[in-house]
Amino acid sequence: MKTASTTVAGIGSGKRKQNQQRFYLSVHLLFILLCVIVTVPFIVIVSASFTNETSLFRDGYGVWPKQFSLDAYAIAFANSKQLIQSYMVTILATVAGTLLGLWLMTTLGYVLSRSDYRHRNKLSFYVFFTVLFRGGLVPTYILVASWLGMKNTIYALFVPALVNSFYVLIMKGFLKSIPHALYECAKLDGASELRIFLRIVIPLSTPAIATVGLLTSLQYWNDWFTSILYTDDSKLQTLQALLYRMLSNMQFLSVIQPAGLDSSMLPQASFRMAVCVLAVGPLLLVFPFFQRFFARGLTVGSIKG
Amino acid sequence: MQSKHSKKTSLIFSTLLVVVIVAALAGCSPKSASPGDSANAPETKETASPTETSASSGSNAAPADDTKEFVTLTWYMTAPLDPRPNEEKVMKDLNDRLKEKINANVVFKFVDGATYAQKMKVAAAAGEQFDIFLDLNQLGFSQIVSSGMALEVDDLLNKYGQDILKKVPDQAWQAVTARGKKFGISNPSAWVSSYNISLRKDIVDKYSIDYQNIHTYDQLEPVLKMLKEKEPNLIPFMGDFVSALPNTMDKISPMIGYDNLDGQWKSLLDNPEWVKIQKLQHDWYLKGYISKKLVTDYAEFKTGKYAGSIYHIYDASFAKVSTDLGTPMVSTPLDFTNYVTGSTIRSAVNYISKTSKHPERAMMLLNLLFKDKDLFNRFCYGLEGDDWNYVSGKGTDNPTIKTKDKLEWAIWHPFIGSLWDQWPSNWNSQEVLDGLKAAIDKAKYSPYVGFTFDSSPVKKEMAQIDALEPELKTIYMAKDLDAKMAEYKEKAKKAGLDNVIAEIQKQVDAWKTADGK
Amino acid sequence: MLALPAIVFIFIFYYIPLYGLVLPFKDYNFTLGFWHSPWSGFTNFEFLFNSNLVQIVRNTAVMNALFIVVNVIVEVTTGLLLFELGKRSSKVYQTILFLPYFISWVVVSYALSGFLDPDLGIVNKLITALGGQPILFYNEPKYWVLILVLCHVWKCLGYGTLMYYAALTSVDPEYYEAAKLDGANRVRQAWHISLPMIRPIILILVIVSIGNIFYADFGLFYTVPQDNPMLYPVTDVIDTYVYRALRVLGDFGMSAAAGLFQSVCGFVLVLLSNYVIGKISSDDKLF
Repeated sequence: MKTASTTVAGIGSGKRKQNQQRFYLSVHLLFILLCVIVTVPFIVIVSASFTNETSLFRDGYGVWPKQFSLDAYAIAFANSKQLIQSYMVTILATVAGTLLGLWLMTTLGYVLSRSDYRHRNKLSFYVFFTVLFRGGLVPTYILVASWLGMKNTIYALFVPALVNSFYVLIMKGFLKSIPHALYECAKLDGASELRIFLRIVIPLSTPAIATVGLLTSLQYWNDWFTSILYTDDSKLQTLQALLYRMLSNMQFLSVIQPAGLDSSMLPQASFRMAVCVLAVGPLLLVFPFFQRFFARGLTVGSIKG
Repeated sequence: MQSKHSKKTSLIFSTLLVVVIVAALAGCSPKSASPGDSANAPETKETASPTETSASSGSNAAPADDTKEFVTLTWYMTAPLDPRPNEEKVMKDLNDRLKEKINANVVFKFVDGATYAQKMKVAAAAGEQFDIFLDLNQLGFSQIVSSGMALEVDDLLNKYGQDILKKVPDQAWQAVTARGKKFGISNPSAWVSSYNISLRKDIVDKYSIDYQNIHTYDQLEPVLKMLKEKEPNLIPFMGDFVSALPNTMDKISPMIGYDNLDGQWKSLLDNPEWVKIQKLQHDWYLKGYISKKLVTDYAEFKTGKYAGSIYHIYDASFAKVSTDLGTPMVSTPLDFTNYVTGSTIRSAVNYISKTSKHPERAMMLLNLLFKDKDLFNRFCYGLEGDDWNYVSGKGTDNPTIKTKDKLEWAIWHPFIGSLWDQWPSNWNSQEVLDGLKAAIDKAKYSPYVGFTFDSSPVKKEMAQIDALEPELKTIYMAKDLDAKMAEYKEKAKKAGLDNVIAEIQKQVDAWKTADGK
Repeated sequence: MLALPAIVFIFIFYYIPLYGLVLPFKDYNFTLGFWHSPWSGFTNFEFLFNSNLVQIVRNTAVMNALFIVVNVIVEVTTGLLLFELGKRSSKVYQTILFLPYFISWVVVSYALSGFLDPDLGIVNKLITALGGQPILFYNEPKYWVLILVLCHVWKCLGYGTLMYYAALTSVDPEYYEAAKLDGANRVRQAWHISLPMIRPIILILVIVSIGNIFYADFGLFYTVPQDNPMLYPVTDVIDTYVYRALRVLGDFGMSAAAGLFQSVCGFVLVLLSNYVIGKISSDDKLF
């Protein structure tokens, strides 16, 4: 797909081209500035995660560690078997949850976006209602753990969160931009609803699916609470739950200060930073994967033709 | 027509998908209880377990018979350490020893501190089965008792818990007694804080400060004044003064308690000691003896900006304060009377769950940890060789040991037994332990150790007053302290302080008559 | 009908547990369960209605409203500009701008105190170097409206931008071709094509935010100002107040009551805004 900008540049006259370049230059500068604002704190965090705890307090934060130390990571990697296991569980839950969730959310979002669907407003309300009103922790726990018997199973890690009402509504917003005429044409051609969905909606809405897929997978990746709530088995501990537990434990110990403990052996601040660094993982893995789909959507024209 | 037909196919398709999902969910849980069962579980248990207990205590079976059946006990606990790379090996060793002694195994379910209370509540609400659970005052005694999570343990203690009864002081049992019945076992520990003034050793040496003769804030003030003048780059003092205030109140909430000095129930704002501390802090704030910002964490000391601090454990060797504050320190105890209160005693309590299938065996396990010092310390320190080594006294009942620098296993002693049974180590030297013990022996017990307040009649007022308390953290920074205090008194009154005090008085009177005091 | 599995799913996982909504009206005892706990009428709500209510509700709603407005403007602009830049460079920018999303508020609060600390903070070091008086940021509520808004935008920028950018990429390029043939310049293209095309997304995001306007981001309002009482005039919101009030009692019923209060208020606002939107353009109504 050609983006608008390149085409504009293509037909511009000399003077316009100059304007054009100045425009791009300033936009690039703006973004570089934005990126610096965003990156500098992050570099500080990375540096802090490699800094000796005492030095961190004494010298403050900086872009380069004053006293290099791997203590924080040593703690995180102390139990490498568990770490690998947690990675596997997290990846499994994320992939399964994202794929299944995407199917469910895209179908629902699509139906909601069809302006010829009579009950779309009622159904939208049905979905929106759950954004604001939830039964709360205990009923959900009883449902998932006792009635559905998912406690201590991998299902508990992704099934309860498959459909996010908010993402369904976003999906609806995206799919609204598909011209309605297209469906009419397809129907006249005798395409079934399923076929329309598979052959027209999905190819035309790859950016939407990629966005929601990205958000869903990040949600799964970053979720620690589900794992702590529904599983006792360390084999089912997700990565974030594992890191969260370590962190929460350090914090807890520094507050209650049990008489048995030497709290100075816990590099709390630098470990917190290390957790932050480790959590960014998916940005480097998942993000580029989904980004590929942003501009790959087929055009309406290509389908019409 | 065409479209109707296609809708039908997709309907079939979707239904199939639902069926598949449901089947997948159902398939993973062949033994899942039906909704009715699990919802009713706690209630049926409630009626069932007392009979169970009385039956077991009624029978005169010999202990050998009691341990005939091999059982595995589940123990919920706030995670003492995370991660625990050596957990598998340690647990195997401990369980081998346990099997030999009481023919049982134990499985610890460690939950992180921040989610512990929530997790236990939902587990209890869903009627989950477990045997023992620890509470570090997060769920709270009165809630545990009123919601029926814990089993009465009087009979069990008499039958299987003699060693526990020996080691927990008599006064302490009051704190876990409700309606005349004991509900938990509070593990002996440092129930008071031995607050002290700690100063950096290099500063003390430089100005030859006679720190050993400082025991009050008044005596400290000239030192701070001198430091302010001579060390312009340092802030003379750092401290969470309020928690270190002469602790005369037995508090039932952060802001309300019984003042042991004049025998009144009152709010913090009416406690003269608290007011005095606030005024002092205000004065020092204006004079620049303390930081301009709110300090809430000892770790702040490691910035090296401060010359001295309040610290909460006193030991003559200064070892602990020096490691915690990250630089060599000296300290001197603050002069005040400590009070042991119900809530400090309840800082670590183990309860036997009402959903336990083997309450007698749970009690046997707990008793064993009080009785067998060697086993108890192995639970806490882990595996010899792997996690720790003898330093001296091997073979005696109180050897000195040293753990690895990087801990791979730990349970803090007060989580499962008595801190005073701890083998001295790099965690706590014998000196520290003796110091802590001496502080408790010196301390007084509040007369209301056994009183627990049921806040439900005034929970609206309690919530509003609880919300006020954190606002007091920075009250000393106010320009006009007296006016600010008056303002907060007014706020507390509006929030319903008088109602709460009246309700407390009512319950106290009822408690006294019931106890025949 | 394609949507049936999802509808069933929502029913099971969201509607069945809704019986939990009786909780605010119960004196909840967790071993008795929902149905057997005694009814308590509206007593669980009472602790909310005190002298603080006006302040905390105002703080919550005003700050969230500010976030909504600022976020939409900044994110839509960034999205449009990214779209103009084309694929390759926008990818890099997008990835980098998403970084803060992964940084927890606790870490943000550490980093921020590195800037604002009265003695060691970079800002105050600069001020004193230039001969000024250090500013005690953590004692002065007046700075915090701006600080909180900046923190929020900083953290959410990547997230929002991503959504608007993705929405733009799914716009049919033919529209732009046509506009260019008509001689429309870049601004007019953005105004007449891009904005209308992503309007549904903007509206949905805004409406959902309005629904949640009485829910404050606890981490932002509690952790970032380090729960400093001096800043409560700006930073004390419903969620932080409820946290403080119930941290000792731990009462399920009362915290559920607060949640229901927030939801109902938000819900009313959503119904209102949906009605207004419907009046303007019925096609854009959410439901």
